[in-house]
Amino acid sequence: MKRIVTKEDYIRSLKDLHHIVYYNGKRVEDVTDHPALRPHINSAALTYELALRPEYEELMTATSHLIGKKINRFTHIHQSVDDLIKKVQMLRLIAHETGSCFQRCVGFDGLNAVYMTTYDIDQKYKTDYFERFKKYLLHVQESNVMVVGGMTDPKGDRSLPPTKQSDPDLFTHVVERRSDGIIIRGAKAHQTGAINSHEILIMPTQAMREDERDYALVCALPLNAPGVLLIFGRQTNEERKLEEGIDIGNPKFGLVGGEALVVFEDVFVPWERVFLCGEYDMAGILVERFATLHRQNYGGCKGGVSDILIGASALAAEFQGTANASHIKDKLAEMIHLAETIYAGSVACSAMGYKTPSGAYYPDPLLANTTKHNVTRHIYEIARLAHDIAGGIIATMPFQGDLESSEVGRYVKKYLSAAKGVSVEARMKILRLIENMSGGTALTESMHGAGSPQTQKVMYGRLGNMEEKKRLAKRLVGIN
Amino acid sequence: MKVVEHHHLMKGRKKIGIKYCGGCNPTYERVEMVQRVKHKLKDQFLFLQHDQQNLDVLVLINGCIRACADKNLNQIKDPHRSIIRESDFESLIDWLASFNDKGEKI
Repeated sequence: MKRIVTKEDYIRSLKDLHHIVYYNGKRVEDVTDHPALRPHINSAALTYELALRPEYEELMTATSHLIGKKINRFTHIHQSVDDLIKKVQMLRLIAHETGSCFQRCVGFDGLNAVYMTTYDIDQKYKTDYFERFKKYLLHVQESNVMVVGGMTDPKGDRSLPPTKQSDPDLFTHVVERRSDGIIIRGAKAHQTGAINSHEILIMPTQAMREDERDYALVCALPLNAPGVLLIFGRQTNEERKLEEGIDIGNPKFGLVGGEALVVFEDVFVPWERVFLCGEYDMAGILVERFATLHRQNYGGCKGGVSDILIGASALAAEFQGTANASHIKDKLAEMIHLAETIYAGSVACSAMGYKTPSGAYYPDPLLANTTKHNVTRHIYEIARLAHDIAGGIIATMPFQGDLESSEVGRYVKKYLSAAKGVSVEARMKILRLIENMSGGTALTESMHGAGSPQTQKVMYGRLGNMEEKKRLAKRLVGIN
Repeated sequence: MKVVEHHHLMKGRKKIGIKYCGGCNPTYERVEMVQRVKHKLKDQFLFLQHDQQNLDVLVLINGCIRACADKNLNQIKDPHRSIIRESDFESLIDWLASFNDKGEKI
């Protein structure tokens, strides 16, 4: 594939992909031309555009350890603690531009997790996955393609393992091994940025047992490969994206990542793109590493998105004449506290990161999980405070069409007017932005993206060093 | 023809390199400040990226007091100035104005 440099290159490359995407039961011929999909494409396009701007190059680019050239940071393997911190800083800065998810971190984290784990697999089994993966990584770095990290399987009945499901495809698996490659079947759910990515890096959804070898699978394939199709997920207020103007809330960049169900119907993957196949005992560590790398992110991107929601809430208060009320000031201060707390977590797990045997750096897993767990709570609280400050008007405000109506527009302007000098249109724009960023799909993503809260609690049990805590308590009071 | 004109314009102007921090959470508009500097000093300076050769001076534009652009400062040989806040604008202009046509400090 021709190297993608500019956002125009990126959008053109998506036009040329001709992958099979469905939106509300209909095939989308050109994802770049669809009003419901374009906002997500605009967000991801910024990861290309910002990398070319001198004022962002320090964070948006890195030097490849493979070829020594400048590359987009989203294709980089972390070579230091500084790289880990820069990742978090980069996510915050991009979120300041988009106010929503820009999707490319999932593949970034997949690349890093697979890099360090294929090294370990080779050490244990004398396989050649690491060398294969480095060649794939080189392709990603040189072409600058967007890769979606495909981990979450549909999982069917959660009480049953993959082999006991009524339909074996509820977990993605190998159905045939051939001399030139493998055939896979299944699906990956909730795939952020999938409809506007070029390739998918498939990983197991959970630790696997010996009888689940066919489900222990890591491989990469283009999203236009025969047998792959994508079904876009419906979002809160989805139809507003088909409109133009105020009521969309965030007209250019939309809402969260634009998730899709990616289906694999007997898809061929050549061996050179297979990076784990049957080594079931290595699936768990890969999942843990991907989860840690992804949970590391959330204080960066959600911190940045929260900055905008806090700013919008402050403006709503100013527009409505409540900015000087002490309880409003207190709520805004609380929102800043919550946002900076999650950012602090992301920086902390990065600062406490360490080198893995592969040479790649890895954030502290306990702190990364704690950070994401805080995001599942703090983002909801920030949204609650935004609703509190904005008032019930965010749920009852008339349409933009009413504002512009020759019949009722004058009433909207009359009865939605607030502080002197503030236009009703400006007030409506800010209130719609708050509505967009603080409800429905936006909140659910904070809860379940990168794993639901219970998955973080499971990690506390493993990483929380409870025996040492008990020993410390006993020592303090003299219990032997 | 255009190349000749370009060299003509460059002649006599000192070369200033601009190096930005990453811009994760700046406290002021960094790019806008540089635009104002360019506007004010366009006759005296040619504005280039920081990694260009033979710079006369280097300006490090940081978004906040952490000054991430100042990393590896001990490796910088050219005269340089670090900016960390909006109020540094006037002192930056004064500092740049203190260089003569040869890029030497007056």
